[in-house]
Amino acid sequence: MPTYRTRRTAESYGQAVGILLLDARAPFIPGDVGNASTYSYPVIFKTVPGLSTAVCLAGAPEYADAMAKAAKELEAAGVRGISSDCGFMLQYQKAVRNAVKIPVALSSLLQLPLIARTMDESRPIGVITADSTNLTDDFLARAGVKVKNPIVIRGMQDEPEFKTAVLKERGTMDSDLITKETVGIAKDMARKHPNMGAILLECSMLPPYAKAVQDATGLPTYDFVNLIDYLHRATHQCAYVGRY
Amino acid sequence: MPVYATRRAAEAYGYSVGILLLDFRGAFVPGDVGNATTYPYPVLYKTVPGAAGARVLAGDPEIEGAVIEAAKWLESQGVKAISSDCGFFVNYQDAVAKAVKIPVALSSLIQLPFLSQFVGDRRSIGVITASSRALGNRVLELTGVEPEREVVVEGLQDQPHFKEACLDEGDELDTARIEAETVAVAKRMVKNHPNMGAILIECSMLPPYSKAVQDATGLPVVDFITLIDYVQKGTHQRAYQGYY
Repeated sequence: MPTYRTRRTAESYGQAVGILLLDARAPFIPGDVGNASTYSYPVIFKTVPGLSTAVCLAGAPEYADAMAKAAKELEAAGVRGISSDCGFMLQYQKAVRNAVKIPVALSSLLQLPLIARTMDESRPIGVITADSTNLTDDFLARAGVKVKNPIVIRGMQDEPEFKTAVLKERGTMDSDLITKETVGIAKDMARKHPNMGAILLECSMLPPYAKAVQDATGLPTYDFVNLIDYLHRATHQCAYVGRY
Repeated sequence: MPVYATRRAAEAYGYSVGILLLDFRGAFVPGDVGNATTYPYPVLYKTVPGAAGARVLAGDPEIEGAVIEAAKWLESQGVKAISSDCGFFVNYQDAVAKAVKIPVALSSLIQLPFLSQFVGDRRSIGVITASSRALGNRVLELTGVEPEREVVVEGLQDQPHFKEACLDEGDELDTARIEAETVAVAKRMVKNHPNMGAILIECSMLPPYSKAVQDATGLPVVDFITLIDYVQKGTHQRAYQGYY
């Protein structure tokens, strides 16, 4: 491909995945969806003005158009796939995928059916979410996420450090404390459901702790970054240079 | 974890994913599921005795016991997840998932419902398979894809070189010829279905050509390797070394 055409709508080139962001301010540490050094490929971020964490978690269908508009801008900038930094963006998955031509995977929760498929349907899947009061079976069903396996949902909303640092946007965050809070919930969940087959971390701020959760429980652990990596692989196939 | 216990059943350690193989001899080039250099992590292979391609394509119940036994052997060796080298192992997906504790992702085809969530409602998904005669509605139903999604299936069974090198277990495989055949089928499929939103490549011998298919069509392409990489990441979470 020796001749390249200017993309008039693009400010720069080579951006692999576009990520829609909540209108939130909190420390996005390495491993967080909102930290560019989490990825082995370039990403661009785009905030959706007004769509705060609280508004998104409570459900806000009125933001569907703003989400679609922001996604179109990312598409015009040249990204090959679109994701987001909140599992509750699941509510906009259909609106956004119908608005753009590139693949859209807004929510970590989209992985539930694939994770379920890798195990017997009697085994529960544990979901650790930012806020279990809003992540209901009905919320999943409305988005078309259907699995036969029992889903065990536990929230971080009452964990002191997560609540003040993430949900209340205190301005600082102690990642050691969040590790303890997340691992504590994961271990309790695995103990109460000894047949649990996997854990899914819904929240985009929890992938930094996925390894600690996996080490503590011995269970397959999936998170937002696994989804974004998959989206990246699907849109950036590679040449193989191995041996025969 | 400074104290390690010997796994009495294990011959060696550190294998990441176990891969069940058809009882089949072919040229597994770099990028093929059956080539160890395809992966940036160690994989362990196990041939399923008696699992000839034709029997797996038909879902012959007589070999189910042998498939399960081979999967259990891989689990005893310490692998963290199990896959295979034929999309038609979907016929045994649920039986194997019930028989072992680790995640099971035997078939590239189980990505179909996952991928389907990423693309607009009115867009089709193309499937390129070793045999479109074997991949009928029964097998599509096993993938769990929702009936509303238009799925277009194209087979390579009548492509001369694919037939002799892959289906008829030839001694020589010319990757340039298989690539030309695969790309031609992909381009024809997209031409006949201009609304196509993504392509899934079923056959374990075709990932070496996924990049060529993507370059020729401009579409997202998933294959066996995108699935194996996904379960590998979900079973081997990492520490992040980025910056803030």
